[in-house]
Amino acid sequence: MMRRPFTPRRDGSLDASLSTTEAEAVRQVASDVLHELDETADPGLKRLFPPAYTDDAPADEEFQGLTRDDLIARKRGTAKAVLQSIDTGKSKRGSWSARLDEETANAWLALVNDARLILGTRLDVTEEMEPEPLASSDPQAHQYNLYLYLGALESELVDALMVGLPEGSSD
Amino acid sequence: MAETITAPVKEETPDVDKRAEPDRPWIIIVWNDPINLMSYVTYVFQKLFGYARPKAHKLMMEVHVEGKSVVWNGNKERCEAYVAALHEYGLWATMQKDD
Repeated sequence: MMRRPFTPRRDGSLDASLSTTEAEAVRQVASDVLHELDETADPGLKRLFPPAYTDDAPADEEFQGLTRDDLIARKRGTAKAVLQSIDTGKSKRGSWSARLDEETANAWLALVNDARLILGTRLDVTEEMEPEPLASSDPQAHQYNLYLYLGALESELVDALMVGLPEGSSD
Repeated sequence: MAETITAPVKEETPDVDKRAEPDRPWIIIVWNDPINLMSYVTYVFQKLFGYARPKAHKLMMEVHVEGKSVVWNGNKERCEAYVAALHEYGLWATMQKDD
Protein backbone atom coordinates (compact mmCIF):
# COMPACT_ATOMS: atom_id res chain seq x y z
CA MET A 1 0.00 0.00 0.00
CA MET A 2 1.79 3.09 -1.20
CA ARG A 3 -0.77 5.62 0.02
CA ARG A 4 -3.35 5.45 2.72
CA PRO A 5 -6.16 3.22 1.45
CA PHE A 6 -8.96 4.61 3.63
CA THR A 7 -9.88 8.26 3.99
CA PRO A 8 -12.39 9.07 6.72
CA ARG A 9 -15.23 11.47 5.95
CA ARG A 10 -17.25 13.62 8.32
CA ASP A 11 -20.34 11.42 8.12
CA GLY A 12 -18.44 8.34 9.35
CA SER A 13 -18.05 6.80 5.91
CA LEU A 14 -14.66 5.98 4.39
CA ASP A 15 -13.37 6.53 0.89
CA ALA A 16 -11.56 3.30 0.05
CA SER A 17 -8.95 3.11 -2.66
CA LEU A 18 -7.00 -0.06 -3.37
CA SER A 19 -5.32 -1.64 -6.33
CA THR A 20 -7.59 -4.06 -8.18
CA THR A 21 -5.21 -6.83 -7.05
CA GLU A 22 -5.79 -5.89 -3.42
CA ALA A 23 -9.55 -5.59 -3.89
CA GLU A 24 -9.54 -9.04 -5.52
CA ALA A 25 -7.55 -10.41 -2.58
CA VAL A 26 -10.13 -9.00 -0.14
CA ARG A 27 -12.92 -10.47 -2.27
CA GLN A 28 -11.25 -13.88 -2.17
CA VAL A 29 -10.79 -13.60 1.60
CA ALA A 30 -14.46 -12.66 2.11
CA SER A 31 -15.54 -15.53 -0.13
CA ASP A 32 -13.28 -17.96 1.76
CA VAL A 33 -14.58 -16.83 5.15
CA LEU A 34 -18.15 -17.21 3.91
CA HIS A 35 -17.47 -20.80 2.86
CA GLU A 36 -15.49 -21.60 5.97
CA LEU A 37 -18.34 -20.49 8.21
CA ASP A 38 -20.08 -23.66 7.02
CA GLU A 39 -17.27 -25.69 8.55
CA THR A 40 -17.46 -24.50 12.12
CA ALA A 41 -15.94 -27.77 13.37
CA ASP A 42 -12.66 -26.78 11.68
CA PRO A 43 -10.00 -26.04 14.33
CA GLY A 44 -9.15 -22.77 12.56
CA LEU A 45 -12.72 -21.66 13.08
CA LYS A 46 -12.70 -22.55 16.77
CA ARG A 47 -10.98 -19.25 17.54
CA LEU A 48 -14.02 -17.39 16.17
CA PHE A 49 -16.24 -18.99 18.79
CA PRO A 50 -14.43 -18.85 22.12
CA PRO A 51 -16.02 -20.04 25.36
CA ALA A 52 -17.78 -17.43 27.50
CA TYR A 53 -17.44 -19.46 30.68
CA THR A 54 -14.22 -21.38 31.29
CA ASP A 55 -15.14 -22.81 34.68
CA ASP A 56 -18.78 -23.67 34.12
CA ALA A 57 -19.37 -26.08 31.23
CA PRO A 58 -23.19 -26.19 31.48
CA ALA A 59 -23.37 -22.38 31.53
CA ASP A 60 -21.09 -22.21 28.51
CA GLU A 61 -23.15 -24.78 26.66
CA GLU A 62 -26.25 -22.71 27.31
CA PHE A 63 -24.48 -19.52 26.22
CA GLN A 64 -23.23 -21.13 23.00
CA GLY A 65 -26.70 -22.52 22.35
CA LEU A 66 -28.19 -19.05 22.64
CA THR A 67 -25.56 -17.12 20.68
CA ARG A 68 -23.76 -19.39 18.19
CA ASP A 69 -26.30 -19.40 15.35
CA ASP A 70 -26.77 -15.64 15.60
CA LEU A 71 -23.01 -15.10 15.62
CA ILE A 72 -22.55 -17.24 12.50
CA ALA A 73 -25.42 -15.43 10.76
CA ARG A 74 -23.91 -12.05 11.59
CA LYS A 75 -20.48 -13.11 10.35
CA ARG A 76 -22.04 -14.36 7.13
CA GLY A 77 -23.86 -11.06 6.72
CA THR A 78 -20.58 -9.23 7.26
CA ALA A 79 -18.75 -11.24 4.59
CA LYS A 80 -21.63 -10.71 2.15
CA ALA A 81 -21.63 -6.95 2.78
CA VAL A 82 -17.92 -6.84 1.95
CA LEU A 83 -18.41 -8.85 -1.25
CA GLN A 84 -21.22 -6.56 -2.32
CA SER A 85 -19.21 -3.41 -1.62
CA ILE A 86 -16.34 -4.71 -3.76
CA ASP A 87 -18.75 -5.44 -6.60
CA THR A 88 -20.31 -1.98 -6.44
CA GLY A 89 -16.94 -0.21 -6.34
CA LYS A 90 -15.34 1.26 -9.43
CA SER A 91 -12.43 -0.49 -11.09
CA LYS A 92 -10.36 1.51 -13.50
CA ARG A 93 -6.80 1.09 -14.80
CA GLY A 94 -5.70 -1.17 -12.00
CA SER A 95 -7.35 0.86 -9.24
CA TRP A 96 -10.45 0.06 -7.28
CA SER A 97 -12.37 2.63 -5.26
CA ALA A 98 -15.61 2.83 -3.32
CA ARG A 99 -17.31 4.82 -0.63
CA LEU A 100 -17.98 2.59 2.37
CA ASP A 101 -20.70 3.81 4.69
CA GLU A 102 -19.97 3.41 8.39
CA GLU A 103 -21.72 0.05 8.65
CA THR A 104 -19.94 -1.34 5.60
CA ALA A 105 -16.58 -0.01 6.80
CA ASN A 106 -17.13 -1.82 10.09
CA ALA A 107 -18.08 -4.94 8.11
CA TRP A 108 -14.68 -4.70 6.37
CA LEU A 109 -12.99 -4.41 9.73
CA ALA A 110 -14.85 -7.41 11.17
CA LEU A 111 -14.25 -9.51 8.05
CA VAL A 112 -10.54 -8.73 7.87
CA ASN A 113 -10.20 -9.48 11.57
CA ASP A 114 -12.06 -12.79 11.25
CA ALA A 115 -9.84 -13.77 8.32
CA ARG A 116 -6.72 -12.94 10.36
CA LEU A 117 -8.02 -14.99 13.28
CA ILE A 118 -8.59 -17.98 10.99
CA LEU A 119 -5.23 -17.63 9.22
CA GLY A 120 -3.32 -16.80 12.39
CA THR A 121 -4.76 -19.82 14.21
CA ARG A 122 -3.85 -22.13 11.31
CA LEU A 123 -0.36 -20.67 11.13
CA ASP A 124 -0.05 -20.85 14.91
CA VAL A 125 1.33 -17.31 15.03
CA THR A 126 3.00 -15.98 18.14
CA GLU A 127 3.75 -12.42 19.22
CA GLU A 128 7.43 -13.17 18.70
CA MET A 129 7.06 -13.95 14.98
CA GLU A 130 8.82 -11.51 12.67
CA PRO A 131 6.39 -9.50 10.55
CA GLU A 132 8.53 -10.19 7.50
CA PRO A 133 7.12 -11.85 4.39
CA LEU A 134 8.25 -15.44 3.82
CA ALA A 135 10.12 -16.43 0.67
CA SER A 136 7.78 -17.92 -1.93
CA SER A 137 9.61 -21.25 -1.60
CA ASP A 138 8.22 -21.58 1.94
CA PRO A 139 5.09 -23.74 1.91
CA GLN A 140 3.39 -21.29 4.29
CA ALA A 141 4.39 -18.21 2.30
CA HIS A 142 1.01 -17.60 0.67
CA GLN A 143 -0.98 -17.82 3.91
CA TYR A 144 1.55 -15.96 6.05
CA ASN A 145 2.08 -13.16 3.56
CA LEU A 146 -1.69 -12.79 3.19
CA TYR A 147 -1.92 -12.69 6.99
CA LEU A 148 0.65 -9.87 7.07
CA TYR A 149 -1.09 -7.96 4.28
CA LEU A 150 -4.44 -8.19 6.09
CA GLY A 151 -2.77 -6.95 9.28
CA ALA A 152 -1.50 -3.86 7.48
CA LEU A 153 -4.91 -3.31 5.86
CA GLU A 154 -6.68 -3.71 9.19
CA SER A 155 -4.32 -1.25 10.86
CA GLU A 156 -5.22 1.33 8.21
CA LEU A 157 -8.93 0.61 8.68
CA VAL A 158 -8.73 1.03 12.45
CA ASP A 159 -6.84 4.32 12.09
CA ALA A 160 -9.46 5.63 9.67
CA LEU A 161 -12.41 4.48 11.80
CA MET A 162 -10.85 5.83 15.02
CA VAL A 163 -11.17 9.32 13.56
CA GLY A 164 -14.95 9.02 13.86
CA LEU A 165 -14.86 8.10 17.56
CA PRO A 166 -14.79 10.80 20.24
CA GLU A 167 -11.37 11.03 21.92
CA GLY A 168 -12.72 11.63 25.36
CA SER A 169 -16.26 10.36 25.64
CA SER A 170 -17.26 9.63 29.20
CA ASP A 171 -16.93 6.19 30.65
CA MET B 1 -44.05 20.45 50.16
CA ALA B 2 -46.81 22.54 51.78
CA GLU B 3 -46.97 22.59 55.58
CA THR B 4 -50.23 20.76 56.09
CA ILE B 5 -51.25 18.24 58.63
CA THR B 6 -51.64 14.87 57.12
CA ALA B 7 -52.22 11.48 58.49
CA PRO B 8 -49.00 9.63 58.97
CA VAL B 9 -48.30 7.24 56.17
CA LYS B 10 -46.01 4.32 56.25
CA GLU B 11 -42.81 5.36 54.62
CA GLU B 12 -42.07 3.41 51.52
CA THR B 13 -38.41 4.05 51.30
CA PRO B 14 -36.72 1.69 48.92
CA ASP B 15 -33.56 0.07 50.20
CA VAL B 16 -31.44 2.71 48.55
CA ASP B 17 -28.95 2.80 51.37
CA LYS B 18 -28.29 -0.89 51.10
CA ARG B 19 -27.62 -0.35 47.41
CA ALA B 20 -24.98 2.29 47.87
CA GLU B 21 -22.57 -0.40 46.69
CA PRO B 22 -24.33 -1.58 43.56
CA ASP B 23 -24.81 -5.24 43.15
CA ARG B 24 -22.53 -5.89 40.18
CA PRO B 25 -21.20 -9.37 40.81
CA TRP B 26 -20.20 -10.41 37.28
CA ILE B 27 -17.02 -9.43 35.49
CA ILE B 28 -15.85 -9.66 31.89
CA ILE B 29 -12.22 -10.60 31.30
CA VAL B 30 -10.50 -10.06 27.95
CA TRP B 31 -7.48 -12.31 27.41
CA ASN B 32 -4.37 -11.60 25.41
CA ASP B 33 -3.96 -13.29 22.05
CA PRO B 34 -1.19 -12.99 19.48
CA ILE B 35 -3.45 -12.10 16.54
CA ASN B 36 -5.65 -9.12 17.41
CA LEU B 37 -3.97 -5.79 16.74
CA MET B 38 -3.45 -3.50 19.72
CA SER B 39 -5.14 -0.60 17.94
CA TYR B 40 -8.10 -2.85 17.06
CA VAL B 41 -8.59 -3.88 20.69
CA THR B 42 -8.54 -0.22 21.77
CA TYR B 43 -11.05 0.61 19.03
CA VAL B 44 -13.40 -2.17 20.18
CA PHE B 45 -13.31 -1.01 23.82
CA GLN B 46 -14.14 2.55 22.72
CA LYS B 47 -16.83 1.55 20.28
CA LEU B 48 -18.58 -1.11 22.37
CA PHE B 49 -18.35 0.32 25.89
CA GLY B 50 -18.10 4.01 24.94
CA TYR B 51 -14.87 4.33 26.92
CA ALA B 52 -12.71 7.37 26.37
CA ARG B 53 -9.54 6.64 24.40
CA PRO B 54 -7.17 6.84 27.41
CA LYS B 55 -9.23 4.30 29.35
CA ALA B 56 -9.61 2.01 26.32
CA HIS B 57 -5.87 2.22 25.71
CA LYS B 58 -5.07 1.46 29.36
CA LEU B 59 -7.29 -1.64 29.35
CA MET B 60 -5.74 -2.81 26.06
CA MET B 61 -2.25 -2.43 27.55
CA GLU B 62 -3.31 -4.50 30.57
CA VAL B 63 -4.47 -7.23 28.20
CA HIS B 64 -1.24 -7.02 26.21
CA VAL B 65 1.25 -6.79 29.09
CA GLU B 66 -0.47 -8.66 31.91
CA GLY B 67 -2.29 -11.17 29.72
CA LYS B 68 -5.79 -10.17 30.75
CA SER B 69 -7.92 -7.30 31.94
CA VAL B 70 -11.29 -6.91 33.62
CA VAL B 71 -13.03 -4.62 31.15
CA TRP B 72 -16.56 -4.44 32.53
CA ASN B 73 -18.66 -5.51 35.46
CA GLY B 74 -22.37 -5.64 35.94
CA ASN B 75 -25.31 -7.97 36.00
CA LYS B 76 -25.21 -11.36 34.35
CA GLU B 77 -27.55 -10.56 31.46
CA ARG B 78 -25.62 -7.49 30.33
CA CYS B 79 -22.34 -9.33 30.77
CA GLU B 80 -23.57 -12.09 28.49
CA ALA B 81 -24.68 -9.56 25.88
CA TYR B 82 -21.29 -7.80 25.99
CA VAL B 83 -19.38 -11.09 25.85
CA ALA B 84 -21.41 -12.10 22.77
CA ALA B 85 -20.57 -8.71 21.20
CA LEU B 86 -16.87 -9.08 22.07
CA HIS B 87 -16.89 -12.53 20.47
CA GLU B 88 -18.43 -11.00 17.36
CA TYR B 89 -15.46 -8.60 17.32
CA GLY B 90 -13.16 -11.60 17.64
CA LEU B 91 -11.88 -10.79 21.10
CA TRP B 92 -11.21 -13.60 23.51
CA ALA B 93 -13.62 -12.65 26.31
CA THR B 94 -14.94 -14.70 29.20
CA MET B 95 -17.19 -13.88 32.14
CA GLN B 96 -17.32 -15.08 35.70
CA LYS B 97 -18.71 -14.24 39.09
CA ASP B 98 -16.53 -11.77 40.91
CA ASP B 99 -15.90 -13.64 44.15
